[in-house]
Amino acid sequence: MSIAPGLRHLLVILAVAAGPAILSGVLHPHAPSWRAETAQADSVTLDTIAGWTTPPQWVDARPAAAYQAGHVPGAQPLQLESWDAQIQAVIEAWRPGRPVVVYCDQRACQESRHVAAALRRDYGLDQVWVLHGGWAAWLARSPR
Amino acid sequence: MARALPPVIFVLLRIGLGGAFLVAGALKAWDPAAFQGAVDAFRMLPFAATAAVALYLPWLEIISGAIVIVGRQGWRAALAILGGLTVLFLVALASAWARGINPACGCFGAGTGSLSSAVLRDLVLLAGIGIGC
Repeated sequence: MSIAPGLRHLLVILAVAAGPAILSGVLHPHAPSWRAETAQADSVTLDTIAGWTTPPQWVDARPAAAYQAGHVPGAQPLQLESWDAQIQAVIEAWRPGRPVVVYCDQRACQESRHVAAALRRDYGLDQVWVLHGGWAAWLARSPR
Repeated sequence: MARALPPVIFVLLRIGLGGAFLVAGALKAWDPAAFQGAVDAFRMLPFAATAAVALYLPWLEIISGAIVIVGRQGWRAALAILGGLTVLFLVALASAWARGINPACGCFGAGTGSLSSAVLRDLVLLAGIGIGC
């Protein structure tokens, strides 16, 4: 195989893939975010939480191994795949008027958003937030 | 090395490799936002770049995988692209391991085992690509 045709094929494939990628970015209902600050419209920062008069109820949406390795003091684990086993403890700890803050690990983590949405939808909790920056933001504020 | 393989084995290898990447790309393209979370977990790129990768990489996998399956013009170039992507992902996994990051975080549902299984999976794919070339 000569180099020139192979390189031409490679460049064509790379260029063709850009088409549906751009369309996906424009039209896909689950398109990725371009700015971390807008990735979570219902997110709250640690600075904002520090100014709350009522301390939040912390919910950890990370995998069990991550939770066991370390978590926000007092946080309860709640993952979608372990929902039935874990939700009761979370609901029993909740009090009307107390905000709930869900966190996971990444700047664009979807798990905490799914957990937060389920708490609002299925249990009617109205003050459910997602921690901006997740566990990484907590660690940065409180290094071990 | 591909020419040393019996034709049937070669076709099955192309279909297997191309199909694996086509399916993987389709799963990522189904929910680019979720894939962005997986990319961001590696902490290697600026956030905006993770969006670009989350949009582009799945379609590169889908199109390259389809071309490899069909086996007509350009399949070697497509296979080279898939090989390059596999190498890049292995580098990312090695970087995450070296920095003590576990990029699994709910994205693959597993704990510490997923990093090594991802490395093993990609090494197998890379071997298949090497044989196919």
